[in-house]
Amino acid sequence: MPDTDLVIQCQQGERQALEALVKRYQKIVFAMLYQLAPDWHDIADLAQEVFIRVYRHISSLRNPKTFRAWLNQITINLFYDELRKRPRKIPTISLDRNMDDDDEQVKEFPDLSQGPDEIVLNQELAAFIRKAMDELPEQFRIVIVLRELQGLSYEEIAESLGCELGTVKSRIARARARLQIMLKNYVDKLPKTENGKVIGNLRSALSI
Amino acid sequence: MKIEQIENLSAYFDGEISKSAEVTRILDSSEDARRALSNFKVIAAFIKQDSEKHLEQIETTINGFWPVLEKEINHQEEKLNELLKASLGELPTDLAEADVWAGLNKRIEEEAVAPQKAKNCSIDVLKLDHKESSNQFVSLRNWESVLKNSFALPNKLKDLDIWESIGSKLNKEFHVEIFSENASAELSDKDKFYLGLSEYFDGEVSAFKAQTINNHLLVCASCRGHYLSMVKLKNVLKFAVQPESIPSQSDFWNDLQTNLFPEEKTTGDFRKVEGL
Repeated sequence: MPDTDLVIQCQQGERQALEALVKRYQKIVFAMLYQLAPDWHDIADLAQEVFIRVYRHISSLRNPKTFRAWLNQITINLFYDELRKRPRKIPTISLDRNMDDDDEQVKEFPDLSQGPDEIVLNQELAAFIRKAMDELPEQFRIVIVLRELQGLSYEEIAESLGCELGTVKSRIARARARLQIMLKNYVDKLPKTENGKVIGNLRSALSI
Repeated sequence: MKIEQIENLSAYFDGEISKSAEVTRILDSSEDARRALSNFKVIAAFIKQDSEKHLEQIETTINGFWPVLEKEINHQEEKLNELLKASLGELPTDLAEADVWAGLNKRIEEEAVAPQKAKNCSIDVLKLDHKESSNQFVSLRNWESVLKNSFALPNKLKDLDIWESIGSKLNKEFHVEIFSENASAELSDKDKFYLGLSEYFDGEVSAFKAQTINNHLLVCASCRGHYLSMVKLKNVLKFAVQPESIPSQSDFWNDLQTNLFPEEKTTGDFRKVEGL
């Protein structure tokens, strides 16, 4: 059954329709919350809150066709609400900073001449990316999540955020540019050891 | 022949307009027009195929402005040679800044707007003006070998890859040009570039613009690099945010019912509630 029918039935009080909608979209909501805030551990609770808001306000949704964007909007607003509630961690190292001359940092890297280097490096990289995402201003982080991870079009993103298409375009481009600079700094400071192969692979995988 | 007539012929050749009475009339009455049309074919073939093969035909075609071009190139060559000697064979940094391209392009444009001189040449090839269309940029790259092979440039100069420095200068304008259409004038060139490429990457540009950018990416390693890094960034993001830590959602609906309707028993078979 199409979303629009489910939404209308839901607005008329059909709980079965609500159930169908929840089951259809819970995965997307979970994923989006996780992508926005990988380090939060109460995503299930937040997803509950999203659907509680859906239930409470669905009667005010005028155009059932816009359900997906509306749901995104609720999820993003909840994310913002939670951000404000939680004390923001003060980053210990600025990722924008060029750390070429920072010997301490380089020493902390594992010895890459032996052992399962790739696993270590991959885990480090993943952790780094999440940190980089975390350091992006929220408005940039949201558009990158919606675009790259949720695969929404610019128009859908504009609808979800309630902003202009031009704003979406420029935020996406700027978010990308920032992430690329962060990644470049990260790759640049990877140790250049004799065991260049692993690092070389990673370098070329990123080659930013 | 007037420029507009040549342009009409060119458009007819590209299949953009049908054979109008005007086109027929020009072709019937003018030897120049017939020659121009056949030149288009030569040039199209040249662009499609390996440049060496058609070099001779092209040289004949562009005879009209060749001496001018040659003179200009020779002049620039002298300048470059002086610079070279001055720096013991090493490429001086200001060579990249040498205005070879500007001088060359100016001459070519002067030729192109002089109708009597344009009679033997295709307007498309003469107007190497990168602002016109990306196709001309592609043909410009094809010209690199024509020029290099046609003038007996000293080996030293050949190795220098003059076109790389000319190209980079041209490219700089060209990047901004094709990527920044409709972008706010307040943005820096770099921002415009990222904005346009990012839009293209996301498939948010018109088919026409996408084709223009495609063509450009084929010939421009620098832009291709930026594009690839966007692909990589996307992959890296997906890799970093893998959903393995997403909690199981099997009880989600039951939990939600408990949250929404705490007064009920959530047996799951109670389908409709008054007031929902």
